Amino acid sequence: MHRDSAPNGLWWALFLWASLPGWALVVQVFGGGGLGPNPQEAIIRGLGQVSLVLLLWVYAMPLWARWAGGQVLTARRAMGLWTFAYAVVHFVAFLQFEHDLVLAAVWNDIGQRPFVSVGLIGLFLLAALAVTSNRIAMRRLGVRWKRLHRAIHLIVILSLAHFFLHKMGKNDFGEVVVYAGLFLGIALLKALPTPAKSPRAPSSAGSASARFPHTPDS
Amino acid sequence: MTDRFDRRRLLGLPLVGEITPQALWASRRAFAGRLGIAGLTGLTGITGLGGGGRAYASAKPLTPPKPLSARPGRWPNVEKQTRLEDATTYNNFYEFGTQKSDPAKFAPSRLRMDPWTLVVDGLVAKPQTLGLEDLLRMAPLEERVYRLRCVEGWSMVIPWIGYSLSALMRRVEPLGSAKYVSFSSLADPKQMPGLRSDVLEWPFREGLRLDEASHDLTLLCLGAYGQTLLAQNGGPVRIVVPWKYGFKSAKSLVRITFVENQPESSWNMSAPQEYGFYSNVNPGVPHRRWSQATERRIGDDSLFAPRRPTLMFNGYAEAVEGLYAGMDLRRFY
Repeated sequence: MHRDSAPNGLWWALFLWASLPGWALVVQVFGGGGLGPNPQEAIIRGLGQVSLVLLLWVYAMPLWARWAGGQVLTARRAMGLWTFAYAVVHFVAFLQFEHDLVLAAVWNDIGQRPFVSVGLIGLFLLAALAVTSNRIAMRRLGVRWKRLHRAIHLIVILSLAHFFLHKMGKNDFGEVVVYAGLFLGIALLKALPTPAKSPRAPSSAGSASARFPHTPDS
Repeated sequence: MTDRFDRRRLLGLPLVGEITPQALWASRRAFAGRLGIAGLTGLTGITGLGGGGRAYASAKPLTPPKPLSARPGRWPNVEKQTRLEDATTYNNFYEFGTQKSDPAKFAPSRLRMDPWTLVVDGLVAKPQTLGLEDLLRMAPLEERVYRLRCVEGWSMVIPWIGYSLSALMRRVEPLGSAKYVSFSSLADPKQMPGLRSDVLEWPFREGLRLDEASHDLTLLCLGAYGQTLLAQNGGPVRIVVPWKYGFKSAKSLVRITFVENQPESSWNMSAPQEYGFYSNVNPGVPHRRWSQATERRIGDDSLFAPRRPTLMFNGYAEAVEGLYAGMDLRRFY
């Protein structure tokens, strides 16, 4: 939970929204149906897709804050942690369903399949961001914290590469192109300078990142 | 909306009926929703509950299936058969799209399977143009229950109906110069939306060596599950070569040509390092990007059922290994 400011309505709304795929998974596994003839595959791929979509959302949040007000950023940590949680379950589902948790088989696979290793590197980076997402880590890391959390760019790129390598099996890159386009679009818009004066963020109040030091808009 | 069969399966409970009547499951299949929703919609709502399975399940097929009686055939198999629902909604048939739900969505309402003609030509003494009725009458129909192993690492057990391709070969009398058989699928953009994509070379082509084609296991297939072949399964006529990866078994055939040289095959043209001409099921030869040592059997009882070890030549080694005596199967993958 965020410590700088008490959870507000927007925080709760975003938190609950991000939890919906988790509930959907629970309902589909235990409530029955909807996962199709190959439920194991549907679970692995669905979780991967949810992770990627949420990751792009988190990446876009500073942009969103520019238009909708800095309060959005109070939920960024929670959304980032949800992203990490889905990515972890995605990986655990892969271990269970693709390798029946036989670690020797996993190890062999990581070496032989670049798409597995690329995804795993992304997951490790995401773990580093999750572990350092608390206030203590922020204080101890100081300026290095911001640098570290710029790794989100690399994580998005690794995730897209992971997805691309997976889709290579069918030469079917339509979805990858859509996600890559969204990433580039968000990156481009973020790179544009913030409008000097906007009614939502008067210069006297400082930028969103000044008001929410937890969530610098990198 | 719950699907009792799926729930029982996921929780590891035994299933009452192995094959659900088609009408029943069509109404149950309310949502084929996956966890994530593809593309842009994923960014407006990330939850995947819901989804549009109903529309296609209730759509009337352009060519409705007819019952097809067949005597029990050679090569008996007592394994649990894949449920009709699974075998007809989880298909690779790129002419209708690359998602495995696409063939069930698009093929039944678009593919006109009657009338149909199959041209058999090339290096044969008696080239023929055959209608569906000719094909159904050519030899006694057998039900052949075969394992189907997809190159992607999943498998099914399907009760096909047809007869050995060798019966057709006897009819057309291949010349001595014929060394290979080439199969071509229909490629009609009006009926097949997937042809817009250039994932593969169209028309879809596959090929077999003459001795492979004349092997008793190689089936000229006209039905499955006691009825004529559904569009999404490659109707009205396809081949089934059970010891090779599934893509070798070309669907919706319009032409079979006997040739002298090794014919082109669509997957081999698309990625020659990954899909060889032979493509025999072989747990010892990994795909370039994944192992082929194990497989996921579709319809195994529980979510946590372990993967199964893949068998050499998909379990048909005794019958077919003689065809490859002395060949390096790592080189001729």
